[in-house]
Amino acid sequence: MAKLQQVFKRYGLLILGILLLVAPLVSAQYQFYVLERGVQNAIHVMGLLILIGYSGMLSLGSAGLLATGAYAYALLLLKLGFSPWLGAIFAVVITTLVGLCLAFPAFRLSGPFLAVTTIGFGEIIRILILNLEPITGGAYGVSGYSKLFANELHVYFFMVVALICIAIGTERLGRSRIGLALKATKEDEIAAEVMGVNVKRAKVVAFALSAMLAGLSGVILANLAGYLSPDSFTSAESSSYLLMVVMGGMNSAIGVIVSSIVVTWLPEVLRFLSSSRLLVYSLVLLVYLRINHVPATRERFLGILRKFGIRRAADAAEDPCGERGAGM
Amino acid sequence: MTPAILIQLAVNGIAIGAIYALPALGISLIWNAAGLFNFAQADLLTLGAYVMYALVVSAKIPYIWAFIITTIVMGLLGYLLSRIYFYPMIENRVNPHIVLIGTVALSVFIQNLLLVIWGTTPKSVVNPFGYMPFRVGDIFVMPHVVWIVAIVSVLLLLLQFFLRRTLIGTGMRAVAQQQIASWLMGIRNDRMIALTFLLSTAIAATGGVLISAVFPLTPRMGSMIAVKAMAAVLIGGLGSFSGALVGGLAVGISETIFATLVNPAYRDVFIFAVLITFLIFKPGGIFKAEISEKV
Amino acid sequence: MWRTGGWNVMTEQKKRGKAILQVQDLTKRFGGLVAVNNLTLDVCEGEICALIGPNGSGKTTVLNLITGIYEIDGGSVTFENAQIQGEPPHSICWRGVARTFQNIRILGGQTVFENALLGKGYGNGGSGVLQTVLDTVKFRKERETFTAEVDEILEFVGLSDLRNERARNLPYGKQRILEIGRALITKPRLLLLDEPAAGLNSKEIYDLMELIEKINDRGITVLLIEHRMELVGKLANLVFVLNHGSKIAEGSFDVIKEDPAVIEAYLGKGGN
Repeated sequence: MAKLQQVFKRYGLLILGILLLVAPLVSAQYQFYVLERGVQNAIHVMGLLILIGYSGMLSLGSAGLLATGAYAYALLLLKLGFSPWLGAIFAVVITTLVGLCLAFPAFRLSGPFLAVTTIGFGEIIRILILNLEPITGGAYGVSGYSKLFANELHVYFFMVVALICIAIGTERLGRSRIGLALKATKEDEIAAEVMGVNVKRAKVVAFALSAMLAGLSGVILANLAGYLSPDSFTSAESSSYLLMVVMGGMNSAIGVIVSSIVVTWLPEVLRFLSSSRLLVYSLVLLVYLRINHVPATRERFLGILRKFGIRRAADAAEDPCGERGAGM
Repeated sequence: MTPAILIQLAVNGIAIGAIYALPALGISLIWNAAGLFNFAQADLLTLGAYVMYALVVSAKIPYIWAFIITTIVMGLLGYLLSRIYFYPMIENRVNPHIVLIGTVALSVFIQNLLLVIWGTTPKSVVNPFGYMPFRVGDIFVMPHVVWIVAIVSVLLLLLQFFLRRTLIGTGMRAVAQQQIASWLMGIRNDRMIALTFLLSTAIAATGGVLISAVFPLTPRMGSMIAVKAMAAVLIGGLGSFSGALVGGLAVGISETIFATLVNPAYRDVFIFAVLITFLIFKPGGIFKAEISEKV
Repeated sequence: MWRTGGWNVMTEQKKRGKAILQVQDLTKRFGGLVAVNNLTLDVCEGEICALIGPNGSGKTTVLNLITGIYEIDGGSVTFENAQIQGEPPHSICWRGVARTFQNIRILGGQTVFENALLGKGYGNGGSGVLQTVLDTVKFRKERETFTAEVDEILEFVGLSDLRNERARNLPYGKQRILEIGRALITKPRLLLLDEPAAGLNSKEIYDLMELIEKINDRGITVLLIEHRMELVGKLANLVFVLNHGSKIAEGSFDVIKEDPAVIEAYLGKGGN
């Protein structure tokens, strides 16, 4: 059993990738769409893992960056006649540049102040999309752009491969000295600086990477949906992404993938949820934070889990960080 | 454009600005007491407004009684929030990022709770202040402006008195300044922080009652007000009593002028732009001394 | 290097080597309060110098000014003939100035190894994000050298057996040692220690003194802030005494402990 765990730890991402690749063969059509959205969210949330999980910069404007990626793709194709692939690349580049603008406030601001700035940023993008009707279609949205792949299954395979590559890269980054520099920035900026970490540069990197992934996720969203409207990018939407990154453990790429897919799937399994999705998400997030971060409650909760024989899950939860190898 | 128009717009803006000052003040009080930035303060205001709606329109309770009940109920809710949710986290020295995410989750939760219970259709509560404007020179003043400014002023004066002159208020200020020292002096931090939440939420609820007289209520209103309240508190200076008030009025007046003279669609963009500029170039706000971190 | 182990007492200024750190007329004000006032001091290559003074005399502020955490209001800081004032802390670190903190600042959730690796910094050349993500040959090579360097230092400070332990689980004394080890990873030529003995028991203090000796034998100049006079007396070649932000005495420990101004500053606590 221990051996199996070790195997899973080492090849977990590959196993997960293979599972995702064969999933369309066994799933029904609507389940497949949910799975697609789950994978697309996971790509976005991977960026939040770097930004919030590693670097501790609470961003609540990521929906705005997602919107930037999706709209940039659609508009480059529709208004400027780009080919889909060129449009996709440019959309990702544009989103990265827009996201970089956020790194500059982050030089001076942290915690709630940065969070407020990012909310403002996300809302400004949404309001601009809503009001620049001649370009963005305003509240009516945009549609009718061509897609990267004619076959929907191919989009999915592309997504899964991209996600696994991104996850591997993110894990590598997390263990490297750059990852450490980011984590040090989160816990103690001054100590990090004094140890020779260029904190500004680390922040730029974190914002650029997360914006790039949000942009990619946005492009894929445009490809999945075929129709974009500003309603999908409200700041309240950001809370579902927060839920995904928090439930994923804030430290592991596998966690992000699993929690993104599960959270996306939740309203489909529990049908009654679909109209009040965000209500349940935020409640779960509230309860999870409270249980997980207050030791007394946590012990009590794990005790209940054990009583009902879910011992393994309880033991696994005992060490949320997991025992990671001490390589770089 | 004449000065009269500007003054007219400013008068209109004062009322809404005074309301913004209330959740802003709540944010400041909680920040001082617990080092926590409560993103849900404006949603507590909205919740208060809906409770008022339920009491006045659905339960047909007389307006004044409904006002009082709303404030008390919401105050108790704030107390509970602190006792069962935020204080245990603060006590266990949970990473501030986590508690911050908690307040964001609370904000989304309240919004969607309102959505599920009352739906998206805007709800109106009667305006108890009447609709007959009176003239001062060339300027028309709606009665609700006078009432709101008067109620907010009385509320703030009472609050000042409470914080400065009473034993409990002094205790709350002590906790805000020196948690451990005040604890050693026998002040119960948990109670003081819970009391701060109680006061802040009650104040926010009062803001909710006042706003229900002027605007139709929607569940998402909290987001809109949150922007203004956060702008008010950060422009005025986080942690400062007068900062919240001045910030609220500044936001209320400037957004009214901007919306009328420039473009109402970009009102929030304007406020955000001002807010972000302030955050970057004057992070302490107007009323705050620079405090450097002890290395 | 002129110093050959033991704890020789330096008395004559002319025997000192080349200055590695020169602080000239350093001034820092917080509002109306002058925290550091026209401070001038030289630290020479290979020395162990101590900065002492009563609480609130501005010792830590001096360290914060040298390492670029605070902005300087007046004067200059020269390290190896280059003016470093105004530079951000990370670039001062890259020049070869490392430090520890009075209140330990390590990453509790990270392992000992990872904490030490942080001393490798970021932004000073080496593999970037792309190379890390792609796991290129260059990155792997760099990782191997880094791992070897970190392990060497952990061995040196005696933390090898705790390599994979989470830093927050370490006893207090070990955390202090870890902080010193992390500072050594940055390959400093000048090491600033802010009250390294605070909170240690006498056995740990003894080990600490040996470690500081060993560090100094590697050719690293040390400037330390300390309240424990036995440690200062044994280690320091030269002692600077600070009071109210100004230097009131400078010299060997034996000399300054007889200095009336110093005794007065400490209200008689200092000399014995």
